[in-house]
Amino acid sequence: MSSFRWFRRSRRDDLSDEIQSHIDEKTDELVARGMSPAEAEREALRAFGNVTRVREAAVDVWRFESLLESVTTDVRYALRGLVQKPGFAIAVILTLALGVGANAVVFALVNAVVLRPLPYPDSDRIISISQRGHEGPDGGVLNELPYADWSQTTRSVESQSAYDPGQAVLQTPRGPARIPGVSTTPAYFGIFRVKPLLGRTFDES
Amino acid sequence: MAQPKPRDLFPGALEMMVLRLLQNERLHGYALVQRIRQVSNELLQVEEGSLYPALQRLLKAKLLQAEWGVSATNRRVRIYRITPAGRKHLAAEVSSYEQMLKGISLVLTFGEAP
Repeated sequence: MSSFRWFRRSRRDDLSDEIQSHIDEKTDELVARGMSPAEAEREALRAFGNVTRVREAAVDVWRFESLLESVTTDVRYALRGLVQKPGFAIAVILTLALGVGANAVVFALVNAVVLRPLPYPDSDRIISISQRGHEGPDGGVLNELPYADWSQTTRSVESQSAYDPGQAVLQTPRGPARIPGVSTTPAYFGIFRVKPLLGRTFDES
Repeated sequence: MAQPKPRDLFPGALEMMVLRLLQNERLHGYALVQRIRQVSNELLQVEEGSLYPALQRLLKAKLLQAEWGVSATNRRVRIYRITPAGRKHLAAEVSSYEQMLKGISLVLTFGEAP
């Protein structure tokens, strides 16, 4: 359907014609020298060699250029189609845009949550442990007694800390501000190796 | 008398001869084959088919141009004509061929009495 094919066939047809003329002329010449027509044709074909192979070799000389031309004609054909059917074009472009957009969003999420390591030193050695009830993990809660027991007895971790996220409201001259925070045990800062911008962190005392 | 076994031409030889013959006149494929045979005193018998890929290579390199015409025997044939680029290419090819020939004959006559 592409003009590429038409183009190649026409070049091949040209060569077929040219080769046929060649063989006819040779046959005529041999007949003029006294051969019988059948014999002359056989001899002309023999002298020429393999017609198909010659023709294909001659067409193949152009192959790379034809490939290039075929790509440009195909692109032009596609663009023309899009211009002629704008409704279809818009539907296709929207579909592609939504597909690409959705993929980008999902990848951004997966990248942030799963693929990218946590922004702390040795983040592959930080684990999170939570209690699991009959209905699945219950949001990370260990109450105080099990935590004390666990931290006394476990030897699997270097350091451990419990935390409880929360928030406070600070009344400022410009209105109330919400301060997200976490109440935690002192080892927390060592595990994540974070330092406060001002002052110091609290310790066991 | 034993006929010496005909040997293949080196790559590019056929193209060079085609360009040289077309320098004097416009010819179609079969006429080129005949000319090569006549002009070489029948020493060279090109395999007739091999002419056509060679012609296509020369066309692609824009060393030749072709147009459809009618042969002396009244057949529709493609008639080839050399381009200015073809003439330039031929001159370069011939001079490099002569260099090679000179080199080969020097080696082949090495040590013989001058």
